[in-house]
Amino acid sequence: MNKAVWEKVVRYALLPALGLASVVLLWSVASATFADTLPSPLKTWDASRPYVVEPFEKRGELDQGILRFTWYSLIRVAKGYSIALLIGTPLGLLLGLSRSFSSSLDPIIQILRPVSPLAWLPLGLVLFQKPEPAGTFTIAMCSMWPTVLNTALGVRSIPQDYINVARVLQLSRGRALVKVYLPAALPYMFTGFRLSLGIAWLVIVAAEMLTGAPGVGGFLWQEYNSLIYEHIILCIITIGLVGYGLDRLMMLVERRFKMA
Amino acid sequence: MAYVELSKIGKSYGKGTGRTEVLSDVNLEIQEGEFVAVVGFSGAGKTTLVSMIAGLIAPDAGVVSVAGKKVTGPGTDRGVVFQNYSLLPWETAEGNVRLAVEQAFPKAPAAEQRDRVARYLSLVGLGAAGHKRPRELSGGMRQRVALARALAMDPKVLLLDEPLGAVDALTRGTLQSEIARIWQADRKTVLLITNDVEESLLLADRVVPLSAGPCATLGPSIDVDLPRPRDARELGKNPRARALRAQIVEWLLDSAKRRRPTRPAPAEVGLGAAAEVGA
Repeated sequence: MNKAVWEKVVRYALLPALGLASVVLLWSVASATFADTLPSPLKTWDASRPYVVEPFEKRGELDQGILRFTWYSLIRVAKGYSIALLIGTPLGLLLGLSRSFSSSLDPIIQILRPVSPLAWLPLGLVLFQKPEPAGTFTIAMCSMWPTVLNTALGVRSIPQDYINVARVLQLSRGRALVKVYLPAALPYMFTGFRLSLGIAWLVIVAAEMLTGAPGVGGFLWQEYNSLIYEHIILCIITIGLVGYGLDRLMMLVERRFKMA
Repeated sequence: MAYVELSKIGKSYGKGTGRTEVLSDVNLEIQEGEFVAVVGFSGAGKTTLVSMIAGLIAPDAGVVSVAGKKVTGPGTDRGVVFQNYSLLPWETAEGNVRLAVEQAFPKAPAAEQRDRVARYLSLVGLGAAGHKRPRELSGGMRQRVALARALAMDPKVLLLDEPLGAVDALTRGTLQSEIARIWQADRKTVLLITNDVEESLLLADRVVPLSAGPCATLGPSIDVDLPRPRDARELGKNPRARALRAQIVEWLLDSAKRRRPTRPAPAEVGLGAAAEVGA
């Protein structure tokens, strides 16, 4: 094997495997010694097996394969995330294009942005009287901000050169938006979309926990109440993997739009 | 009346004590079909001058008029080629030119617009590169696209703002001859802004030097009475060209010596400081 290939194997396979192994080892040691309520890796695997091996099985409302739960959660996230993008993108464009709009709304955005999903959800329940739309509302409210702010930033950082082109060619407002402003802001917007998706996925657990809806988050909370702690770990690992997958996916899309 | 006319133009940037007058009392007349070059130092306000004719910025004092009408904003009657190409990177070379054609001839049938785009791309020698995006093109090729974009609008006036400042020396030579060839073919009114005296002599009917800033102003017009087509290599040996070159360079260097001090005189600083202490 030549040296470059070997180096790649070490960097992308051997070292990550080593890191993973040491975390699992630490976990085993911890559960065997001081943290006696923490299920060991082996016990976790044994208890999780039916959920992982038959990932789409439906045995009951809150006893379903882990990917089936993930699917429910993803659909919920998709709803909230779509609303976040549909509101966030035009809002960001307006903020970027109009200075007075930006001055009047920026303080409110800065205040709403750090509010936790745990705070939005009760308000959603009050507003909609049902858990499902309250969850969607919470996801939308929390995940909107990176899209809003990055879109605004994207529009604001359009190089003067491109603006001059739009002016010299006397593009109408609509045409300038489509031909110059949107394409120029697109890379920033996709960064916003990616960060928003990350937050939307982060919020799902909180939303499902409080509403008891079936999904990874709901399952996690239910298994905590049923004292099956192994499944909490299964859920955590699933949430992490799915979140990572979504992020990579968005990064691929984002890269396609970055140019020049 | 001249086709392009600048009278008593002044422009300042900044506020309060930091305010600098970039251009003051600038007067220029360009006849229809004339190729005029303004030559000056970097940072003297050449781009400001061209931006005012393009309608991108408004003068503080004086009036710019094109074809007898006062310039109040940009228009497709003035084609601009910027120093940094200013192509839209998400559009192909063709797309960039097409956008200009669609704006200048919105009522023309699609086929006619397409023909026009193709014609001007091949005029600048890029007939085969239309599908490429700017980042796939060299600096010289990008500037050709920018030139095609400006020409395809069939503007009454072509404003070239240091169009060859960012391309390498060899490409510059080729592009200079291209510009000369294209101009000979359809004799547009052209204002070329450059810091290259050689270039101005190669291309222009008339050269006007711009004094060193701040408060830059235009010097006396110098007619370039050299026969066309001109050749860059011959120009170096031609005694008339050398005399013109000397005349322009001398005026520019003198203007730099005459330039007002950029910093306030010591007495003023002293007074200002005293006033501050007093306050």
